[in-house]
Amino acid sequence: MTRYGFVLWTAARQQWTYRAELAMRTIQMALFMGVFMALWTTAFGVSGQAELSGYTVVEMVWYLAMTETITLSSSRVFIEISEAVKAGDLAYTLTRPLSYPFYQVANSLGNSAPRFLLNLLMAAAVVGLGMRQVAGSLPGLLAFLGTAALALLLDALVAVLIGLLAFWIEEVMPIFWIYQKLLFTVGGLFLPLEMFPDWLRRVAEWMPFQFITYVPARTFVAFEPEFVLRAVGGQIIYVAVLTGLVIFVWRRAQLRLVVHGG
Amino acid sequence: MNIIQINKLTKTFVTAEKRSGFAASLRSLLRPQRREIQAVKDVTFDIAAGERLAFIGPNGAGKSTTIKMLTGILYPTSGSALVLGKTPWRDRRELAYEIGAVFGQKSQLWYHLPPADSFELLARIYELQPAAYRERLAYLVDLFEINDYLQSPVRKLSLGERMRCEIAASLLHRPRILFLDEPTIGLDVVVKQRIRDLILELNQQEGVTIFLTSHDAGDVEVLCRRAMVINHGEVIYDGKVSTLRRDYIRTKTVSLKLGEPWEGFDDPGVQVLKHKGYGVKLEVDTGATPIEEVIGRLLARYAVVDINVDNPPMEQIIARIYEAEGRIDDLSLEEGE
Repeated sequence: MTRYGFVLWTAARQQWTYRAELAMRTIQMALFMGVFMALWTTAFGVSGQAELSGYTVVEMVWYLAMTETITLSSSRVFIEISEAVKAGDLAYTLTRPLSYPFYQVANSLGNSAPRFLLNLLMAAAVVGLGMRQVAGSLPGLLAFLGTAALALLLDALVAVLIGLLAFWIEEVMPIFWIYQKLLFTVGGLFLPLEMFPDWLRRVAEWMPFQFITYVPARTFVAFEPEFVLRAVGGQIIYVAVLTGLVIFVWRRAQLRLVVHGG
Repeated sequence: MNIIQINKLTKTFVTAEKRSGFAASLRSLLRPQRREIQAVKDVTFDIAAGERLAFIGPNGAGKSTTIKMLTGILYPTSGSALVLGKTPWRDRRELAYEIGAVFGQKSQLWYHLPPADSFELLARIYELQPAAYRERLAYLVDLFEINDYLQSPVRKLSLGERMRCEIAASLLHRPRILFLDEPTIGLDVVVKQRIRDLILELNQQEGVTIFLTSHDAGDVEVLCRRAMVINHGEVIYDGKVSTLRRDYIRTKTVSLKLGEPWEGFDDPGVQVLKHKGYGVKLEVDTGATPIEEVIGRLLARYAVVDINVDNPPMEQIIARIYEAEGRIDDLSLEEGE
C-alpha cells in the first residue's frame, strides 16, 4: 500500500512541475463560475422564490463550484493507458512487483490532486467574491474533502477501466464521452438530484455517478452527518465493486497482451 | 547452475487482417480474416549463472518477444520456461524482485523529475531498506558517473546520460539477471562503448547474468562470450562469440574519403567494393589481415580525410550462417517473400 502511496506522491510532484500551466487552465473554471452565477441569479430572480428544491441561490452556486472542481480535476489516465496498450508500452511497469491497474489508479490520483487543489482555490475565490457569501461550514468543508477524495478514487477506477478497454476496442475516447455525459446528467454535475423528477432521482441514486459529483458537493453546502455517513458507505461499496471489476478486466486483458517490437 | 531454462518456447500472435476499401473492411468486420504470426518458434536453451549472452537478429526476429516472455510480460502460446526456478508469466511479481530489465527504446524515468526521484520511487517499490538503498545508490552513482545530473530533470539529459541512469535504475534492487533490450540503440560510438564497459564491469564485479538483445554485432563482440542468432523466430546459431566472429563476422567494411585519388591497395583479404572519385569502400577479411594493420597501412599510404569501420549488417551474417549449413533454400525462400 505504501508503494502505491509513493507512486501517487511522485505523480503529484511531476504534475506540480506544470503548475503555471495548470493555474492558467483554472481560468476556464473562473469563466464557468461567472456564467453559473449570472444564470442562477437570474433564474432565482425570475422564479421569485428564495429556494428551489431546498437550495438558495448561494447554495446552488457553491454546489456547482464543488461539482466543477471535481470534474475539472478528473482523471485522464485512460489516454495514457490506451496509448500504452496500443503502442505496446507496458513493458517497464510490468517488470515491477506491482499491479499495473492499481499503479495507474495511484498515478491518476497523483495527477488529479494538484489540479483539484488549484481548481478548488479558483472556484472558491470567484464564487466567494461574486456572491459575497459562503454556503458551507468547516465540518462541511472537511466532509467535502473526504468525500471528494473517494470521488476521485471512483473516477480513477472508472478511468482505468476505460483505458483497459483498449485491449478490445480501437478507440476508447467515445466511452469516456459517455461516462462524462452520465456525470453531467445523472451524476448531478449541473443540477442537484433534488431537482430531478422522482423516478429519475431514484434511478440516479442507485448509480455510481452521483457519488462522484453530487455527493461531495451536497456534503459541502448542507452538512448533515447522517447523509455523509450514508454517502461514504455508498462510495466505499462502489470502490469495492469497481476494484473487483478492474481486477477481472485486467486478468482478461493480460491474456490479450501483445507487447510490440520484434 | 542454469538459472534460465527454456524448452520449446513458442509465441504466436493472431492479428486480424485489415483489408482496404469500404466493402472489404465491412467484410472484415463480419468475418475477420485472421493471420497467425509465429514470433518465436520452439526456442530451447539454457543459461548458466554469470553468463553474458547476446541474443541477436534483425528487427522482427523475435528477440523482444523472447525477453518479454522471460520477464513475465507475455504469455507464451506453448512451451515452458524457468527463470530462477520460477515460471515468469505465472510468478511475474515475485520474479520481479530478482530480475532487472532495460528497454532501450522506452524509459522508466519520470520525464519531468530528476532521476533521483525515480530512484527513490523504485526503492519504495522494491521495498529496499533506506540504509541499504543509500549504499547501493552511492555505488551505482559512482560506477555510472551520474552524480552531475542526478538532480536535473530527465528531459534535460542527453540520450547517453539518460541511458546510464536507466541502467542504474534497473540495478537498484540487485537483480541476479539483467535483461537488456537494445540498450545501445541510437547512441554514438563513444557512448556505446562506455555503456558496454559498464555492463561488463557489473557482470564481473557482481556476477549478474547478462541477457542482451541487439541488432548491432558490435555489442556482441565486445560484451558477450556466448551468442545466439535468431531469425524468423528460430534460433539458427548458438555458440561462442569468437566462433561466430571467426566464421561469420570475419569481414568489416572500411569506408574512406581521401584527399587524393585512389590508386589501389593490395593487402591480402582486402577487396574494393565501390570506388568513386576520392571515396572508396573496402571489404576486409580480418582473418587474412587484422583490421588494425589494414588501417595503419591505408593511413600511411593515403591522405585520409574520413574513415569509418563497420561490421557487416545482421542480414549478411545470417545469410552466411544459412550458407554454411547448406540451407540456401531457406534463404532464397525468404528473399522471395
